[in-house]
Amino acid sequence: MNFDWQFFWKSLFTPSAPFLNGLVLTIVISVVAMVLAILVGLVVALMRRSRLGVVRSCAGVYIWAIRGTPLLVQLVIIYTGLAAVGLYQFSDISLLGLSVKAAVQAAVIGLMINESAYIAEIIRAGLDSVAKGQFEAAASLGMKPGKVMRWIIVPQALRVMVPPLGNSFNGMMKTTSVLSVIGVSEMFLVTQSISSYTFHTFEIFIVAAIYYLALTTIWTFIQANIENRLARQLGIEQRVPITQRLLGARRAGPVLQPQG
Amino acid sequence: MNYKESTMSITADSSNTPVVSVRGASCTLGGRKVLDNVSLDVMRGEVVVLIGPSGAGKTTLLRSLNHLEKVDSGEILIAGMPIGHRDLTSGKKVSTTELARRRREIGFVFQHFNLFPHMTAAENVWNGPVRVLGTSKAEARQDALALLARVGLADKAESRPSQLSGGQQQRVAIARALAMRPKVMLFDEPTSALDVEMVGEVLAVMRELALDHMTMIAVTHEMRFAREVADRIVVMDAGRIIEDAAPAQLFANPQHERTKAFLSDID
Repeated sequence: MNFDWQFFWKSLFTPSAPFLNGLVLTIVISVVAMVLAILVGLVVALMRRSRLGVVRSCAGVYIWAIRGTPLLVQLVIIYTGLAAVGLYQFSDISLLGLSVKAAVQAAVIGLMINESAYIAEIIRAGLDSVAKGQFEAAASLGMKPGKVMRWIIVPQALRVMVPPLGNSFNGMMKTTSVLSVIGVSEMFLVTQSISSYTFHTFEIFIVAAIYYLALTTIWTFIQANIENRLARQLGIEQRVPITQRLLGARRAGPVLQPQG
Repeated sequence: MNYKESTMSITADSSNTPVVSVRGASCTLGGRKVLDNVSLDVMRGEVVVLIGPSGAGKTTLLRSLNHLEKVDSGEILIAGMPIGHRDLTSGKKVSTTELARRRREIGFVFQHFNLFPHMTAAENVWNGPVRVLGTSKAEARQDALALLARVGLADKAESRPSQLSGGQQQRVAIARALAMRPKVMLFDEPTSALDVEMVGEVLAVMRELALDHMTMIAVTHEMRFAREVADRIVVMDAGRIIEDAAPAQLFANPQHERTKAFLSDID
């Protein structure tokens, strides 16, 4: 085996500037796309609950179409397809003094659209988890629907929504690797190019894997913190040990039924 | 601004306008006529108890007073103003904002309490005035503590609903409704979900409210409460009001066959 340990340690502890830039881009795209996806998902979820049938169906079709097609296809349609038919051509822009590459914009939009469909369902499930009596009690105090949501429903729904939303974000950080296809120089694409000019494919991809793992692990801690804080706010003591979060839920042993 | 709106809406109230007025209300749920041309006036300070066999439409009638159930036809006026449906006189539809404003004047106590589980007992009580009426937190909190003391739960202000017994939860729910200073209190089988030993404490609070001349409409199976506290007992059967009389008269000399049957079933 010719594993180049020296190259490995060097790449792991003193990564090159392009690699670090790729790492930063991965984080930034994930965070921005996730925030936007939550906003869009919220709108779609509320549309699903609209009184107007047309609005409800629009949201339904959106969720159906987006969840039913691969992200890769969506990305290519948005970035390359739209330009090819002359509908929209992404170009580099400068936002708050930072230049944002065309592909990065398309990537954020693609991820946002893709994730928003899943998040809409998470939010819907969260809102559905709150008992009907809570809506009625709030309404009978004279709260308007917006206030009912803000003060009564959402705080309770969050408890149900946060764990799957956290998992979505975890997935999002890994999914950014797909963006290499439209030429976004995030961590995966940078790793690929380092691999192609050093031929240390195994070493550098192990390094990338470790970085992805570090990102998702850090996020697991942050998520645990958010969930515990929410639980405390709701007056529930539910501590999931961090080892269980990282290594998966322990299976409950089979319940022994007394015979006879 | 909110406060101003709420004081202005009181102008429709005068002593000879019924607090609650139902005129020819009908309601069909799932193909079954649960309310069939029901009319009922409740005057200020009156305590009305709705009784009748299950499925008679008592709960539907009570919920329709708060527009939690929509009637298909007829009119429901709270302090002279239509609630949540088309205003028959002006032909205008009552807006969500208007509905919310009118609901402030109606306290509703649910069978299953429906306390907000993410708030303490005190928060449950001050939440309404603060979020809806724009009362300052300090003032609303003080009021909430006074109301909790009134229902005998001064020491439970910081408890969560999950830490309270059913009877305590229901008393918090009553305090929560009272915090909005409603013109009328509606009780939907407030003791039906309670263990027997907790029924008394909730009825005691209701009894005290009645003594304070609160206008109350209650659906209940507690006949002793009805007999002792109610000014009028309204008997419903199959979506209609079949009898409406003072308790003494109703229990001694029921007019309708169905009332006789119902009363004898209960005893």
